[in-house]
Amino acid sequence: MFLQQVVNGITTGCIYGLVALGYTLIFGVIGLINFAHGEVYMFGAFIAFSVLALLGGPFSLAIVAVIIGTALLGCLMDGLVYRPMRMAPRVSQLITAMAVSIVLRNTAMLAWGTRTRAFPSIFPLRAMEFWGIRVTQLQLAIPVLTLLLMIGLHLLIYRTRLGKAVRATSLDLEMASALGIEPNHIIATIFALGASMGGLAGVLVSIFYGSLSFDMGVAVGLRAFVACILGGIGSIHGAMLGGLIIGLAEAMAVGYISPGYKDAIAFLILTLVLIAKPSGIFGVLVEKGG
Amino acid sequence: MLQAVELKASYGKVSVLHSISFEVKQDEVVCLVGSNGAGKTTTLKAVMGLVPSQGDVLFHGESIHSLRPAQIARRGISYVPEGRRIFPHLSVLENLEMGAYLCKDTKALKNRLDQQLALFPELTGRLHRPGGTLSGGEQQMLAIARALMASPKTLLLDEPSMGLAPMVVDRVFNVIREVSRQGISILLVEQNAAGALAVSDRGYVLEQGRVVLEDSTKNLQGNPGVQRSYLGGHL
Ligand SMILES: Nc1ncnc2c1ncn2[C@@H]1O[C@H](COP(=O)(O)OP(=O)(O)O)[C@@H](O)[C@H]1O
Ligand SMILES: [Mg+2]
Repeated sequence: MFLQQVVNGITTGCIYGLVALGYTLIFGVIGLINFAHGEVYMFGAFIAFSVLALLGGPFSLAIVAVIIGTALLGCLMDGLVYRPMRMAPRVSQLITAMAVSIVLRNTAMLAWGTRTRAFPSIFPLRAMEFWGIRVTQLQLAIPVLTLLLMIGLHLLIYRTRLGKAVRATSLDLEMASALGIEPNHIIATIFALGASMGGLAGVLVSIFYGSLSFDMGVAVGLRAFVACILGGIGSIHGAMLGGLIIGLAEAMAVGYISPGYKDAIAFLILTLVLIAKPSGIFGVLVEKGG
Repeated sequence: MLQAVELKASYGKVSVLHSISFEVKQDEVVCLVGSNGAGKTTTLKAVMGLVPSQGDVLFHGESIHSLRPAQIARRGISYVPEGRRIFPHLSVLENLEMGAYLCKDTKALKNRLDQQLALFPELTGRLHRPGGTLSGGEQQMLAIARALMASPKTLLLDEPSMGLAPMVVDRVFNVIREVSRQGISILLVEQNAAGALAVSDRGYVLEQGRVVLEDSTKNLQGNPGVQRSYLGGHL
């Protein structure tokens, strides 16, 4: 039972972490909580769904479409909505982000309907048993893929010229611009990057549960947001760790208390973090202020 | 080569620069002296496109006034801001690399790095430390080196001697002389008027957002008003 819940928790935790990366990257550079990020995750799932349903595959094409489609969605969101708002008060930006979220969700509802749709079954989801734990292949694939994406992101941010420019911009946007770095290019890049990771997470989840719906981004968006706060918003590693902790905590609550508590866990963790250590585990907020 | 024409700037409704004009010619070191709050920093930021302004800024005869900061940097103007503004969590090397962000040629980059390390040997042993862990003096050297990594034609320096120990202040002014010898024209903003005038060819005195005096450094050093207001503590 315990190990089974650990496996389940890691699976969902990875998903939360991937979505959380999008929040944290964007917050790190422009200080905006992009509340519409959960909808990008949902769009990722629906883009894959549409490619598979309309064209019948192949799956690799669906994945490419998701990456490109959600990256574009991220850039459009930034360019059309957030960029004109860049100088506006923080609160106005947050309200705008919520509005974007509502618009995207309703667009998806109009496009794909209110019903929960079945995701085309492309992979035979065979479950394997080890020492009494049921693990599907996808449950093994999700952490591996997440790990690969994390390593890729880490190398991008810490080893490449672009990544260093992203970090410089997040530390001091004005100074970075005086060195010849175009802040709007950097911001568009992280929107694209965060969005495509969120989109991929959406596809993984839809395959995992075999279903998707226009409002699937709400719950995951919330948990990923809490994961960011827990890990220290602005921190890449914190986002991933926060996601895993929330995934595991939820799985334990489901297994040992009652499935009904699943939704309360994220709020409980959020409350505890805000009381005990508002800067989160990696404490980037405080670091940056100093 | 760099020319500000009737620059005006304000923060909200408060007007800070009232029609400032000045010029930095090829190979010149020009200083802008004035007391705290005179508008020196705002002037440099207006030139760099970091604060909105009216008027015009010409560089090599072309207006750069409506350009974005990154585009202005691309034209060959580098900026060393007040308070250094090193990227604290980036290593010293990464800070330098960001200075040469516009240079994509790795060989040229290596050359520039070697040049800067020759000019600032104190950075050599610190390349892999976070910029934020350096001492104030080292951070100032890094800020200047970072700006020079762009291989600029003109360098804007905002209070490079501020908050440094006297020996380090001397070092900063020596570096300014050395950079000038490399053929880079310099616009230097300082509250330390004595030090600034000593390394400059010409100077402008700024008071409450206006240029009240401009002359060769020799004449400014001899000017009784300048001596009383700005040089008293230093001579
Ligand atoms: N960000 C700002 N917002 C409002 N007022 C400012 C700001 N920065 C500077 N000021 C004001 O503008 C005036 C000029 O400031 P500044 O250019 O920094 O002068 P200096 O560099 O000569 O000390 C001062 O009165 C200062 O209080
Ligand atoms: Mg100043």
